Amino acid sequence: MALTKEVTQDKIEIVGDYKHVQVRTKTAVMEDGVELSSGFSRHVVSAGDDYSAESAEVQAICAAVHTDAVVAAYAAHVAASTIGE
Amino acid sequence: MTKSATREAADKVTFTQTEVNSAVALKAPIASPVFTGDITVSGGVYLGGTGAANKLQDYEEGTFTPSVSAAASHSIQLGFYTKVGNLVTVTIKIECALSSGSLIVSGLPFVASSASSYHPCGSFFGVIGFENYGHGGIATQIVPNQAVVQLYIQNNSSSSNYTAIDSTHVAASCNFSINISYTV
Repeated sequence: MALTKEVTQDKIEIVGDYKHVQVRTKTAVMEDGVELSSGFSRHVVSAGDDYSAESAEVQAICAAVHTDAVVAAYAAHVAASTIGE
Repeated sequence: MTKSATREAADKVTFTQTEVNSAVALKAPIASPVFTGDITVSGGVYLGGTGAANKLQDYEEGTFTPSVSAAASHSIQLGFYTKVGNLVTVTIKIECALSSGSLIVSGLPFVASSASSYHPCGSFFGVIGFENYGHGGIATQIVPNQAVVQLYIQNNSSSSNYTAIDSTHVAASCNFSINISYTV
């Protein structure tokens, strides 16, 4: 009867024109390989964000989709959307 | 149904697929079924109709770590979310020491809809640090195609109804809560 904790990124999505990378992390408590309970936490990696602390898989995705053009386009979007109208 | 059933062994009776389908189709719908365990649906569930707008295909709850762009450090960073269909509701509690810059809360769990001019707003409660600028009310809003919440002071002026909050408007440390819903 061994209890173990498993942390996995079970869902990684690329969302929208600016290629936001949505990451869902699942933390599960397992007993002899059978899941007893689990929970999710999420975060988003946007174009231009520092993704060096992300998992290797997320880093690879960000490197592929956060091109210079996407980073520049998203920066322009952010700059243009700081007014609440 | 028993008419064409074949008895293959003393304890085994086989029905054709047509017979099974017929039996299921004839069975009267259960008005208010009661289930005693969990129900797992790999697809969606239609509620109140059969159109695409009636289909609930996602429910999820979890946590995230919100942060303030102008913060030098955080002592509390709590974020909880519930997603029902395309609507995400987040509750945030932050306590931080400020350095400089805008008070933009980042780290939301989902990117907001890209719909043009879509800026849903939520509720804000300043606990510490807003004594000089909170009198006109502080507003929160989601920015389309981003995963952030912007904070604004509501101005009593016809020339401008709001001012983006930055570190000059708030004390050296602040503590606040936000509750906001947005579509994705």
